[in-house]
Amino acid sequence: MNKEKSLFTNVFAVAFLIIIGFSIYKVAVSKDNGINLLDKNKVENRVAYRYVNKNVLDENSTYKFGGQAEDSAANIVTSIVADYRLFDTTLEVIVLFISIMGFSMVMPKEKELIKPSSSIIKHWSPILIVFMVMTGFYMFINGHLSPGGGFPAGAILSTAVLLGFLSKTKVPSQKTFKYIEALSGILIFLMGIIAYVINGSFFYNFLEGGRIGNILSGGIIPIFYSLVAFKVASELSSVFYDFYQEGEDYELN
Amino acid sequence: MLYAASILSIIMVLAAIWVVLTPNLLQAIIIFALVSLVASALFLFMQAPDVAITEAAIGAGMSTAIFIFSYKRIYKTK
Repeated sequence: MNKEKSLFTNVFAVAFLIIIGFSIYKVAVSKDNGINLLDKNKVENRVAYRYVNKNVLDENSTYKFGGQAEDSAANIVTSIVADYRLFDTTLEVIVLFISIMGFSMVMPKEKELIKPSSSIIKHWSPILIVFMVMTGFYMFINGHLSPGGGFPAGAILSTAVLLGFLSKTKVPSQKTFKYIEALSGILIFLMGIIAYVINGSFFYNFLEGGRIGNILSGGIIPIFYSLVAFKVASELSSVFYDFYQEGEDYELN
Repeated sequence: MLYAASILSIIMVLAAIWVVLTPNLLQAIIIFALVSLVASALFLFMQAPDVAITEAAIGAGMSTAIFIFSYKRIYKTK
């Protein structure tokens, strides 16, 4: 029985590899529009050329519905991360989710007392938390204009949660973070499906934007980035709760 | 600019060697945060502000906190 099972697994693996190899071959030799792998293209047809020559200061540079993906964001890194490699970014979110899920499964749940911190941290941390949350929000709202984006914004927000956690300021409970995380994770994929229904391609940038450089020029990029930021922040914050759950200290005799 | 970058990279290399050689775990964690901080400054010198922000937030902030939490957990179980 065991042998048959392993034989079946091997046959399945070989078939899977053959399918993947055939798809790669098919993509390599295809003669469709766009850039093909085996083409000897001119420099002008490359994606990088359009990025290098992108003029953000021009008054006429607007992003229209159905326009080119390079024009959706003023920040070049964002238009790569949130347009060309959006699948990559989405799957990165899933990778982070799975790693933190595994972490919280492995970690033993122990309740312990969080010691009251010194008065300096206690009095200064609310002021610092306000600035950190402001920086985080700025970073994902302006992710298509200035450096930053979903992941750093989420990390900064979770650092603010950590500071509040250490200084015993009131922070949301772990359950709240889990709800936020689940909700934003569902909304990210819902947005992709809505784009599929509207245009026929997953995560198509379906909102109309204004002049490039304005805050409303990115289409769905600010929405996507805010969802990613909330998801990353709530995931990373729930790590702290896995380490320290407030309760009675088991070490006190 | 070049002098500042070279001084920072020398500090970074020395701190990285310190992290590997020190027998004290807590000291290693703190110096590792220093390495991350210098790395983020170097990224800023190399005109990569996106990477610098991420490195400062995750390398110097998050991972140091998680390392210290796990250090305390290890110390408690010993």
